[in-house]
Amino acid sequence: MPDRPMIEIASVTRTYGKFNALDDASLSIRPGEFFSLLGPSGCGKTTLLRMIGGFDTPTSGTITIDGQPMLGIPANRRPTNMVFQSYAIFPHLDVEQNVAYGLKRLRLDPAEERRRIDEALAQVSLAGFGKRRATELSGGQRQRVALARALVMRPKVLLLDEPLSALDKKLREQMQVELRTLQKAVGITFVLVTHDQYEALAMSDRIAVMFGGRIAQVAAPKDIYQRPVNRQVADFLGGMNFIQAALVGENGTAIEVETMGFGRVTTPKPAQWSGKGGAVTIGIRPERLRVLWDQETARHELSGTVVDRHYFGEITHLVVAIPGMDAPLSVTETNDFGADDIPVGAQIRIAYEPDALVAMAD
Amino acid sequence: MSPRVVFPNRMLPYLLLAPQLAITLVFFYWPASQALYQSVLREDPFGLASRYVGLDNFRRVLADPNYINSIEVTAIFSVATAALAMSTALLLAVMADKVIRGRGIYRTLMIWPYAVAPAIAGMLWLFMFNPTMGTFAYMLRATGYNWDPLLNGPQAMTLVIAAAAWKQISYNFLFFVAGLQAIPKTLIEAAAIDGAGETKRFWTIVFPLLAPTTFFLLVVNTVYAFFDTFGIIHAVTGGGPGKSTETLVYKVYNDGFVNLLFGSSAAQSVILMVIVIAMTAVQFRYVEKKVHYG
Amino acid sequence: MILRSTTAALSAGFLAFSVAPSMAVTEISWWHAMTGANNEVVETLSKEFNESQSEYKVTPVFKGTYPETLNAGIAAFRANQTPHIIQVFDVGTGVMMAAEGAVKPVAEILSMGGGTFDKSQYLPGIVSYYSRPDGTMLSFPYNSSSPILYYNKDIFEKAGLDASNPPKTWPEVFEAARAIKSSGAAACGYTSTWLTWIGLENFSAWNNLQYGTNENGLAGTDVELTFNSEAHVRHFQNIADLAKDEVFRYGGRTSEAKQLFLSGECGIMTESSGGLGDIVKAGMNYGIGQMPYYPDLEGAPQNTIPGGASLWVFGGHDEAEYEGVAAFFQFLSQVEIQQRLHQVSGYLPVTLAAYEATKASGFYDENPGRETPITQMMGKEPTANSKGIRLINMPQVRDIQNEEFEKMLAGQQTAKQALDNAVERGNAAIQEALGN
Repeated sequence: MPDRPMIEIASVTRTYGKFNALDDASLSIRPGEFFSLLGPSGCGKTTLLRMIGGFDTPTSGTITIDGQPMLGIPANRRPTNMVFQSYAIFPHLDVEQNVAYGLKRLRLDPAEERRRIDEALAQVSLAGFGKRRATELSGGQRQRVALARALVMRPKVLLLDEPLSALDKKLREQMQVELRTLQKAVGITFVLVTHDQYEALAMSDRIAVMFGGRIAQVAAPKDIYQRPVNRQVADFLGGMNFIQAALVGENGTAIEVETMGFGRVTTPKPAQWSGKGGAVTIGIRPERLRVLWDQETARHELSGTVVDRHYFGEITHLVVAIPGMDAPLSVTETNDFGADDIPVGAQIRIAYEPDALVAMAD
Repeated sequence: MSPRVVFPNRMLPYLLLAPQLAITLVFFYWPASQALYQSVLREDPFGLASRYVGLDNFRRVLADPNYINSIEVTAIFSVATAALAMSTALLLAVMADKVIRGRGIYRTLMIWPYAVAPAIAGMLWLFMFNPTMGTFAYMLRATGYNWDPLLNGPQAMTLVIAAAAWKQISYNFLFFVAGLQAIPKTLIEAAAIDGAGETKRFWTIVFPLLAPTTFFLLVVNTVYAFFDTFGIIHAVTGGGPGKSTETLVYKVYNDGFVNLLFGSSAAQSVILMVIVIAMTAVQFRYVEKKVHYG
Repeated sequence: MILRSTTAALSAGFLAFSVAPSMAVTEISWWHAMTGANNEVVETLSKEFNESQSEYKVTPVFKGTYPETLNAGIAAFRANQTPHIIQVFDVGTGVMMAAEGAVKPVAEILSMGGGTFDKSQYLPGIVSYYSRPDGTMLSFPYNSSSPILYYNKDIFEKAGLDASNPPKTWPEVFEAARAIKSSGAAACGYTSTWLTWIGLENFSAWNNLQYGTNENGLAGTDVELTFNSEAHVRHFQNIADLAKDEVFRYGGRTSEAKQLFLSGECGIMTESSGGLGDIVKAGMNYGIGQMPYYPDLEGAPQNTIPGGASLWVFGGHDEAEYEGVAAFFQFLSQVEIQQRLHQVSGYLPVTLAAYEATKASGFYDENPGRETPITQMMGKEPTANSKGIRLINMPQVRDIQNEEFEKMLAGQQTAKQALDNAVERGNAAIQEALGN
């Protein structure tokens, strides 16, 4: 069964007293996939990860890893390993001893053990650091030790609990690339928990966005970003202009709406379309709105007045009031044509593609 | 580069230190100097006749086979008490760490024995195990075991060790619980996911990480066994049978306050002082090196 | 609440201050070691004395155990803060006596202020114990007791022994003890409190055996211990043999063995007459007999020597204060007081008159056995071996004896080895204490 999922989560619920940490979550993760659980704190992502790892038990529902039901199987007997947010480096052991900790149980012959330690350290670019004390390492190095310690056990699934959150921005971005490269090299299924949408977008093959113990949407990064199923998902992943619209017509896959400002638009039906009467929310990302300069024209354009502006170095955020719309639009424009010189009060024109308009479930 | 506090007034730091210095002087250095002074004198109890004898008191003490016996007794007693008190406390702390429901109650209950005065603790154990009136003694004898700590030295030693250790378990327990809580749970989980079973996790991760606590308690327990157990020994065995539970401190008391040999008693306290200073120094110099302070 | 109680305490303090100086009362402080019922007796006596006159006021202060009280007195002397009266237990007698200059002989006190001190009105066995070799009485006997034999009548009957006729000699005691054990009437035949005071010191006096040279120390402080004679060894070997067969049970160094008798585990016990109270309270069917002796020893039975404590007076106080102390001692010597103390507490009466009065009152007929400790002590004129035992470091010597006895009872050494060791170590300790 080559297409068998690596991890199958079926209707998993976890309650603590009256509180539902996870509510009827179902998910399927493919072999070799870099999968992210994304959401704000308290959304249940870490709970789900810990249940996959065997540190927590579902109240109901089942978790299957590589075809094996995991009910009652303790953490140390699962084909998973984990990189903890705090790295959980054993402070009294040196790097090599940390990496070798789990290997000892396997009782390999010394040469083989040596080889695997060196291999793991090389994978995380820590060759030659074996004798360092864990306390002598930088944050990034500790992160690598934690990775090496997990990889050396050759798990089928590697769980990563906010592994980069303690690093500074630059190092974090560098590690994102490294992690992604490493994952492709070793071919192990990675499940990453993060609250940082950019991290999730940059690294993942697919992302599950979670809120309040529920999985809101599972999709590839671009789909999640471009076609969020609801306002909450849209909001969490970045800025979004929400536009009131009225339903005009619908067929099996698309709906036609009459919008404020954007006229009549046809867009694909959102995944959780309930067909409730009349009002529909349409969204468009601010960077999909483009300022039109001088005599430049576009097939679809709007005009309005700049009421506020925010300068961010490489980009500028313009807040533009459009006649006929109840709320101003956010427009993100790169500064290479001088968007940073547009003053408040200026009359401008904005271009958009109707494709960029997305209908949402709520 | 660290900021330095500068006192505007040169006297202020000394003034602030004064109460502590005064207490140290009055309660530590003054008695210690008195002991030193007494240790080179020989006088009758009332101090009516006093003469300087140099180091003669020390010579007599060190040549006394009873004193050598007392050193042995102290060594056995201290090592056993510290080991028993610490290992039991650690075991209880590890178990209490796992309890979720009612952990506060368990911990409070565990702390109670520490509030018991040593002499009272001694009396409790005496009432349980004294062959003439103890409940447990009666039960032990009923099983056919010849329990008689009044005449059997090793049994008496076992009894005072148990009583002394029991008293100290609470204190150790508190520190071990705190020490265990200070170990990040993820370390334990990381070890677990790497396949280590509970026992292995304990010895390879928890125990090494507890080392600073353990070392601290080792020093505290040794000092406790040396000095604070006087009340227990006094109540339970009175140093007997024979001299089989007469520790150094008990001998200092007995020679000074029962036998009224002040010179000898003072000389013994000076020796005891030197032993404790030396032991603490050794512990810090050698044992601490092996301790990892996270 | 704190404020209010502080105020109350303050006003109480002012009250005490304002009342006290109104009459020029001479304060007499009395340090003692009495607890429980005996402490109440101390308080009552002080109160009665204070109410009986207006010149002096005795203030009793509890200072802990006997050794603690003695140590408090020593510390007070070194700090020049002595009380007037201090209660010192029997074994501290030698210590106090050696402190010449620190204490004022009671004989001197009692003949002060025009009073006369007639030594003959006190019980000779007690007086001689607290007197200097020249006969000067140094301390005032307060609570004195003497060892006697207690036996459990129920156990005796169960063992087929004559419950109305206690064993009189040691061989009879041992025989009865073995009978008790072998018949299963009790787990142990015989036990004893205070192996030092009863088993060795009183054993020596009662059987007219020398304990140490120089009249057991009463004639001089330089004593050589001699309690390892053949007779001593025989007696202790007998006990060691009984212990081996579990006929004798050891209870502890002081009075712990009383529990073995009270709980019915042991059928016979030798114990202080002062222990009677507990036995009466336990409501057991007991009998009292004389201390046993060895009939083949010359002069046995001789007389027993007292234990307990006496009141010492520290030197260095005012004449007026000593007169107050004298008045208090006279008060304590009164027949009614002594008679009451004797009958209530089980301690021996100090004066002959009190003894006679108690006898005349029929108390001894109603309480058979209560006279035994007195007759034991008064039966014969004391010999050099039976006046008492006084060592400069009695507590230490007793410790040594206890240690050796314990090793003997544990089967680690014979009676001969135990007594030889105790004599040797005791002599060395005495010489050290003498500063030699």
